[in-house]
Amino acid sequence: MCDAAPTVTDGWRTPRLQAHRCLRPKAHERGLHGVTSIRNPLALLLVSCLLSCANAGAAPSDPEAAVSIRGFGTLGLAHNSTGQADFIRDFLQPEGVGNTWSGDVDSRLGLQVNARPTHEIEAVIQATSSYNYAGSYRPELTWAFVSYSPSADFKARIGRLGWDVYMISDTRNVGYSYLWVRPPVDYFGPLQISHIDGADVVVKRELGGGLISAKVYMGWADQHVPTPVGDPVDLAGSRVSGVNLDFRKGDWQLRAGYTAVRIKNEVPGVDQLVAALHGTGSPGALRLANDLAFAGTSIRLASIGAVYDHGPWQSQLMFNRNSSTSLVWPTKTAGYFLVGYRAGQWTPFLSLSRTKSRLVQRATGLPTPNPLDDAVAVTIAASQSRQHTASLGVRYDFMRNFDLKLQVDRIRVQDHATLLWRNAQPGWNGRATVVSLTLDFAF
Amino acid sequence: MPRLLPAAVACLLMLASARAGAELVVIANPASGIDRLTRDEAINIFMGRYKKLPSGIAALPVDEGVEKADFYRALVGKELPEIQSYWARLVFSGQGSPPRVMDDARQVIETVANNKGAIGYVDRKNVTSRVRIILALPP
Repeated sequence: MCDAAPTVTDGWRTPRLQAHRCLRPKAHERGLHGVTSIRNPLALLLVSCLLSCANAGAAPSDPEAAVSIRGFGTLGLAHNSTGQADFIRDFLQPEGVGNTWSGDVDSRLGLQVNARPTHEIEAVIQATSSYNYAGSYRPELTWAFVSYSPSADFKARIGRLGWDVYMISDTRNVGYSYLWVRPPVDYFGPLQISHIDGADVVVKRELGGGLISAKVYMGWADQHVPTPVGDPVDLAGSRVSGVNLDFRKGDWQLRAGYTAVRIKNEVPGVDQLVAALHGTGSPGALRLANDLAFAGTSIRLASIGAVYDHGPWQSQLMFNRNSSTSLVWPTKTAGYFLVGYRAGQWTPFLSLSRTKSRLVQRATGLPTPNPLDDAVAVTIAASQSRQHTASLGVRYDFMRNFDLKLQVDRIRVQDHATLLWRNAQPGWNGRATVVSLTLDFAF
Repeated sequence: MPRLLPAAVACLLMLASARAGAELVVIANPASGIDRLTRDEAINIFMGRYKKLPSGIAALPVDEGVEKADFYRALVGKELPEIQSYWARLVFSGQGSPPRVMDDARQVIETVANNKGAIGYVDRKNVTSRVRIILALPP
């Protein structure tokens, strides 16, 4: 986009890469498909700089643009019916919304620059601002990589990469790219990592009239995850490695994935509990200390999913299993089903999701009551999640590059398993209705 | 109500015949090494899934601003907002960029004629001898 106004450009139109066109636009002659004028002198300077760098190899009839600037964002409001537990979109949000309206749950903004010096090489940088672990909107570098693709069969990327653990997990910030207001919390909520510093390789082949692709990736996390009490967990240095298989034929897409995250740092609070258990010298307490320790264990994430997308219909069915050997992160299974039908500019949809964690009760074997067993019980209880959600909503594509969404979620939490909530009160009956309204854009 | 039905049918027929005037064809460079493309191959190329021509060279698809909506309706049965939503997923996960949008048929033909791997689409009546038709998409 030659200027920052997304509304007048032609969809995914890449920038006109000849500076003189940008400086002397003929918007009135070229209508919707043209380029509008630039009013801000600073923007003009920046854009002409970018364009002059990009000018080489970017004639009007070149099939690929050398540089493009794009962005996405969501302005959202969410309301929670209960004042006894605060709703969060994902694990990375330190506080949620209680019985009020909040713009923090879903609002976000991302900007991305793609540069393509040759047909084989591309560089991508993306920064995203959203309500983060520190309770601020400080922008974060979410993507920064160079890719090399000598042919359609092979692509390698190195740098900072979005975490492609489940289908759509690496674009869960991009509201414009899906039907919901937000991807199902039951399924995506426990994901602690949004990006890794590392590399991935994708190999594609035609197979049986379809397309099969395999991806392997490895890298290191660089992220802070808030905890209900105390300091955030520092995931820096945790090694993330995984493989995905994807098969696409006609209206169908099938995918399976497996990822392991080797946790490097201990959860604040858990380290003290582990030390205190060690201090007792009791064999039962020592075993419990080992089973509680999170550092040094691996989270394993396995997933399978299917997408069916035909004309106005689209539907998705996904399952995952998110497990570790630590009592701090008990094994969780989750699934969701989505179906939507487009009628003109409106796409009503229904989404059902569920998650369940395995409860393992443990004790030190010391004479009860004792404060250590109490602390262990609290830690184990706080790591549980058992809930299901039924969502009804509609996406309204009211103008080019924009949509409006309205969604109602009926959530039922069982056994007070409130890992995916903040400030849950002991007396809460586990029921909540969340109403959300968002405006998404992408240009 | 019954009287409205013939009127509605007539309306639809008129719309259909208006649309039938423009037949979109996918075009390639005469040196591309291909003389036809299947619909599935066209979908893979224009939807950014597998940008390779059957002859083995890299495919460089381009869009055309005026015909874009009709083209994707004919190719995958999707409306433009869905196509843009689809590309938002690919673009912001660093999987590629959508086809560059050309202003008109003349520019599409110019691009395809000048780039061995380029493929585009135009109304059949705009096709010139500088490009080769590889797939027809009846409306």
